[in-house]
Amino acid sequence: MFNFKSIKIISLIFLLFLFLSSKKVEAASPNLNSDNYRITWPNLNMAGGGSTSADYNISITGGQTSPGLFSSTGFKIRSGFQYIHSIIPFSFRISALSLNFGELTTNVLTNKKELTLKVNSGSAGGYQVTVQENKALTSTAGTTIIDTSCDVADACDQNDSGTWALTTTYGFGYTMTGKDVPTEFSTGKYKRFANASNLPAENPVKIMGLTPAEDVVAERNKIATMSARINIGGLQAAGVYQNILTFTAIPTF
Amino acid sequence: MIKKNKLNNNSKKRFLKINICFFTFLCSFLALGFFSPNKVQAQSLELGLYPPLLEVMIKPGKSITQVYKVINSSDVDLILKSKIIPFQAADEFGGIQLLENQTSSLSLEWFSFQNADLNLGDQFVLKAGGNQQVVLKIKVPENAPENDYYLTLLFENQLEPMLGLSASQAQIKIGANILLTVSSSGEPLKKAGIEEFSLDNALFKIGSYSFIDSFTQPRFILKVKNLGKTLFKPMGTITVSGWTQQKYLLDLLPENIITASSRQLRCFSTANNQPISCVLTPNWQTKLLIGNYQAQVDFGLDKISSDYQTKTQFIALPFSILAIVVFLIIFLGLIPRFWKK
Repeated sequence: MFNFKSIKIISLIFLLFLFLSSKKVEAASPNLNSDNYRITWPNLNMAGGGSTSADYNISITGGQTSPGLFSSTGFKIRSGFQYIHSIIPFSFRISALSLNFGELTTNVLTNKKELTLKVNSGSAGGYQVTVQENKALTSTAGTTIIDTSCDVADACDQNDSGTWALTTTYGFGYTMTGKDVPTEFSTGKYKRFANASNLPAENPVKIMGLTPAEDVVAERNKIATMSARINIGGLQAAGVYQNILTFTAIPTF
Repeated sequence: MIKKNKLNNNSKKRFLKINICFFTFLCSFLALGFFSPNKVQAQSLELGLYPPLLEVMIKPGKSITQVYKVINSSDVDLILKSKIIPFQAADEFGGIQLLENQTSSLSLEWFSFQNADLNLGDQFVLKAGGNQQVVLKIKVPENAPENDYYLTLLFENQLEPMLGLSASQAQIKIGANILLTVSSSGEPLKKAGIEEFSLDNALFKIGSYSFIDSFTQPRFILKVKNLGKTLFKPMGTITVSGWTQQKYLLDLLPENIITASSRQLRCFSTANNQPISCVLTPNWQTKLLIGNYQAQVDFGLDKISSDYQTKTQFIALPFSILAIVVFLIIFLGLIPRFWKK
């Protein structure tokens, strides 16, 4: 059977294997990360400002070893924000591929799912994140869960937020918390999603973004949380309900 | 001797048991950490794009190319699709509204990818942790109208059908803006109008004078409108001068103002190399402002000059101290009366 030595050797081999396998995963990642920054192009920012010739001007906010800028006479070109000398890409992350609500309970406000949104606006002056649904939550049989209008006393739509505190208020809606979230969500108010299939189609609505009114700087790791909620009545037809939420992140110009 | 051997055997058995327990516990702990179902299920979506902004002034009949880098930092491979969508200003802060219905716009035909294996609008697979360089070519025809064209290059993930789940699927789109000016002369008409230059945190206003508490840092609102035929960047300063001739400077952030839109400008901190609100940053002089002050904004379009100017006046007084004194006088005046009763 096993003696002390063999057990110790097996343990050590196992630990060594785990250690090496975890290192391998780390080494495979091309990114440099910390709590404060994320560099996905691990090279140094060497350039910035502009250069000129008799025929044309080139001005890049760059530093990447091969910015790929092609030039000829007859144009001026600027790539990147001139006042932010950064090569960190504008990036956007959402924490899950879907909001899976599972089996829904009727007449409760607890059918909730959360999605975390993260924006690195390091190389952009500012940004906005908008959301829009392709249609109301619809079952394969064609029945829908309506988009909420919030409580009658303080109604909401896709643009204006409202209170949703009653279990007799039905529908699908969301609220936002975190960085750069519109102030109208600050008291826990809800909105419904802008619906692309409505006539006329409702425009995507801003859920994150910078405004000069705040003391803002171009930062990394701006994080906000979307909490989506469904409440249905007892008469809601059983079925599998689905739709698509489109999150669009674009820098300001 | 036998007793000693028995003792040794017992202690060996005990050690063996302890070791087996420790080994089992370690394995279970590590296995839970490494193969936790949460880690498998918590797949996220992340896209990065560089550069975020491209500004081009080009003559009709010319062409340029620009390399973009799309990065998939998601936990999964993504099927991506690219497109170019015109946009317009959505607000006064540089926000944009995509004009998805104007995809038949003439200018969209000017854009193509130079990649050998990828066309604009084609789907392509981007591996988790991978990146793709795309070479965007902008070719402006000879007869192109001399105008500004504002567009966004978008990359969006394509969804696969979900079966048997009540859920909202998440689709992610990321964009980079293109500000394209078509001009033969290279000097299209630039014209600005100052819509507003005022104090955001004034307590009240009498005539042209705003009143501010001495302990408040003045915050300025500057809104500039584009009245010309092409975009520009206002470049200049806000100068605050006091009755003692002291002067404080705020540098304007050279942000784009596109045609037929207004923008509330921000300032720029040279110390931190960051955009900031146009607030007098606290120092030993600006911590306490007393008296009459004048703030003057001077800027030029794409050059530092005083082509555009406007002023606002404000008076700083220690209203917060005055309020405390008045409160104390009233309070101290009321106490003796209360005691007399």
